Amino acid sequence: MLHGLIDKIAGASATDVEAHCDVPCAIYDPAPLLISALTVVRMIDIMEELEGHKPDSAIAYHNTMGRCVAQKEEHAEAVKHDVRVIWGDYLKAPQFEKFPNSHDLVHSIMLTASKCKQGVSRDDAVKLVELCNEFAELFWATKGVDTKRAVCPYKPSLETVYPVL
Amino acid sequence: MYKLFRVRGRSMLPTLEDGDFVLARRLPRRAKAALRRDSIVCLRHREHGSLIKRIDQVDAESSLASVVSDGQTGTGSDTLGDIPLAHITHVAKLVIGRRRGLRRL
Repeated sequence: MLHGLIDKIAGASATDVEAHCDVPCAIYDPAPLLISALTVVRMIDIMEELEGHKPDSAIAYHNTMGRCVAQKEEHAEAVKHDVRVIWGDYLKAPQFEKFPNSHDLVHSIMLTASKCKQGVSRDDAVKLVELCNEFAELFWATKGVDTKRAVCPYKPSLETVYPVL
Repeated sequence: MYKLFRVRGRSMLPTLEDGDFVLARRLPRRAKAALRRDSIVCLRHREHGSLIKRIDQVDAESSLASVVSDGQTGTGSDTLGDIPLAHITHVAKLVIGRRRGLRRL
């Protein structure tokens, strides 16, 4: 609560200090961001299910709805963070030359993830998964690793990119 | 003079989390040599920009400090090199944590 207040009042004027993992470890993998994108879809699905089957208790309803909103927000932000790290730390000039659409793709992911935070459109969330799939394919292509698309074996059961190792 | 910083990254876990705010006091030049071990400081690094690290040792004679990260994957002076005291600008006093609220350092 205090953090949120400080963020609103003075967050814009705060100076960033890096405490990043600056070994560098060179461990990059798009799997977490794909799971986060799928989670955004799943949270919207659960919210829609809840709206259709409201529990008797208003408190229980608001509790579950609040938790879903919080998780949707957190995972959409995680998508933005993880994409930013791969784009900013891993991708370099040779990859940008080979994949000239990478900047536009990353920008689209940022905008779509923000839309998912602002609203509850399932179409936006599904689009986010698809953009993340394209990003994962681009990432694995830079490593010369083939990928396949398969429906993830859990809800929301959407097509997801996996490396063929 | 106090200044608000926002932590980016996880190399100072578990003390500082990504997104935490840190309120830090500006260090007058004369106070830098008296920096205590384990203080958390904000500093400017020639290659890595603005960093937040923990003081490991201060050598007043050479005006250099060695620093460490709290997290297992973060780097310290073994990679960053010793930090000139002149590059250490602030000492952290208070954390306004995203999850853990207000804490004194």
